[in-house]
Amino acid sequence: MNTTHMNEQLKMDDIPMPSHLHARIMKRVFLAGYGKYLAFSSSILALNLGVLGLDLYRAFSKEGAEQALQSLKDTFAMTPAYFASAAQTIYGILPLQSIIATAFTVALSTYIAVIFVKIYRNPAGIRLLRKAA
Amino acid sequence: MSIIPPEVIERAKKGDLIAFEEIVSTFEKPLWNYLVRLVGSKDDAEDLIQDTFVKVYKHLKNIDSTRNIKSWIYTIATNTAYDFLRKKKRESTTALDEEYETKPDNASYYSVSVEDSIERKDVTAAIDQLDLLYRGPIILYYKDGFSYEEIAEMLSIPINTLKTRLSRAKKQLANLLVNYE
Repeated sequence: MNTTHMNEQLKMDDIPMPSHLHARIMKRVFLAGYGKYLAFSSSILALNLGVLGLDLYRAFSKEGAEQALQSLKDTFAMTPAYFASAAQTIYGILPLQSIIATAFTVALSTYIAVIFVKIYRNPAGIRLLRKAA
Repeated sequence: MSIIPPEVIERAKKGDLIAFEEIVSTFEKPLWNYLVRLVGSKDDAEDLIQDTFVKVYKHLKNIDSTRNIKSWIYTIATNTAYDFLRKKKRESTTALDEEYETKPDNASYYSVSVEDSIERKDVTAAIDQLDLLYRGPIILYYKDGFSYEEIAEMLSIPINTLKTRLSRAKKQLANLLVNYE
């Protein structure tokens, strides 16, 4: 068997690559490059949420707060007046900075989770990053 | 196979995933063919090609831009596959007589070959039956077109040893093909 003959035989023998493999490779590479940053930021956000949760629990556990919440529960109605009153009550129980911090943390956590899932599920691997660039 | 422009490699070295995707797109198909033949299993080759590109991504910043990136990527793929096969061999309950004489997991591989022509199946099957010691060099030389120097560097062996292995591989392949007829 000479070299030319062997080359011809071997050239015929391409094995089709699975269609999902490119995306899978890019996902693995993405995770290898950015996984640690995602894990780090997610753990900081989780810690932040935990501390805020504790803060909220303490605020809502105070005697006056418990009564106010019970009153809100008892008078529940799907009316604008009720929601205005509920917002006022919660604002009276929680300091403004806690409300802002909670809203910010929840929004950021959701954003990170959505982006991560979108990138991970994207069949083209990193096309989302390419669009953003 | 197209050559990667140096500026793409430089961008990839800085962590640019878009540039890295160009490298992946260029080499994934030949590397896939190489790994399937080397380990004899599509499932294992899927894992190995992913591991290979993750290693390439992690170590790309250390590569000299003047170096042949194709040969470097194949070296990583070869080492990854050999490590895998050694580990598989150690874990296997069946003792094999000679080092590197790992036989392929033919089940998933031959399921693909059913649609292939008889000639292609014969050669493919014969390559699968080669000792691992010979399988890598013969694919790299005849299929992927690497030079003696490049393959010797990849496998960390002298050129004369490589030539001997190629010669023995051809003899073994010829014998196997006779048996198929």
